[in-house]
Amino acid sequence: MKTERLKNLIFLALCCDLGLFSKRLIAPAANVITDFLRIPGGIGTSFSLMFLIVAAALVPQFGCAALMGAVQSILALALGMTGSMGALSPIGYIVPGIVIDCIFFISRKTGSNMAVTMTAANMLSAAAAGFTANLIVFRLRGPVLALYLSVALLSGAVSGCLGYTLAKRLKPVLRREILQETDPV
Amino acid sequence: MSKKIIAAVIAVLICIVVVLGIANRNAGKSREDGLTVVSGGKETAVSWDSVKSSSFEGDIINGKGESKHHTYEGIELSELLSQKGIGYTDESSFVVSSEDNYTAELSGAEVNEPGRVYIAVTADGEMIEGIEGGQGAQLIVFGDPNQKRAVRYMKTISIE
Repeated sequence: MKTERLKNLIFLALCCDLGLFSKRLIAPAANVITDFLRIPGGIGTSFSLMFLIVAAALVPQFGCAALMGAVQSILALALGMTGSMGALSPIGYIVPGIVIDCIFFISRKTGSNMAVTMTAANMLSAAAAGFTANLIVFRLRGPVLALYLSVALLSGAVSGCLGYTLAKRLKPVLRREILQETDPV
Repeated sequence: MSKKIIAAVIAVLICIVVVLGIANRNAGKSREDGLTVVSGGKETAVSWDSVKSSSFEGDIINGKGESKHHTYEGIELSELLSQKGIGYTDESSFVVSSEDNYTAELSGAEVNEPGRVYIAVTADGEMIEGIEGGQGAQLIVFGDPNQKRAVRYMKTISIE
């Protein structure tokens, strides 16, 4: 296996884990806001999706976000971290991954700005995750559903900006490491 | 340019969230204290006082798989429904919603099972609080492998 490919896979695996466990870390703070707004969630998911978007931005291969979502769902099922969706939680992980892949695919075809792409990807994937959770579990309607999706979009936009900053700093580090390994001695 | 677009989108979303958030909180305040049972298009109000009728105890398994023994005050859901004259069958579907719109589903068969589904207003001698303080209630389902259906801030039970 090529060193670059192996490094990419390790980086994707790291982002998978970070995405999965960051949701737990941010949950207490996120719950304060969601309890105040009387909605069942939306913030923690947006933040955890940021790591998938950072990985999708730095590893430009179609399908990597969906693959990471699938790995996250397997980990979540294995560790019993399925949340309110239970056995159907893989849908909640894979659907946002597909949305991220589609947005990056379109962005690469059209040559869109990376900051806008990452923000849009985080916003829409968070909304897709919220919509899926609503279909499977929450069954919200009307203004409450609108509020739930708006919070997901807003926290997705903020996480997307944060993700762009993170990706900008990580890009030279990852490139340098790959070059050092593959450069002929 | 892209930064301006992102900032504008975030500003618009903040405005939408503030407006919808205020509307959602006001909608919650306008409801009376207590529980609402919706069955066959008819709403029945249940006061917290009428829920606090007996004590019960049992083991609850938390998200980490640890089992803890608790003592509650409240009422068995089947008993409450029978007191209020609300009918259901084993095939009925129950959706329990909280003030923060979290939901859990129960089947009529589970509700009918003696000692399984309760509504608690105190836990281990302490009052269970609502989302804004004051009296609240929690759904207790004994025998579940985790607490996912232990709905806090209970507000509505819909029976279909």
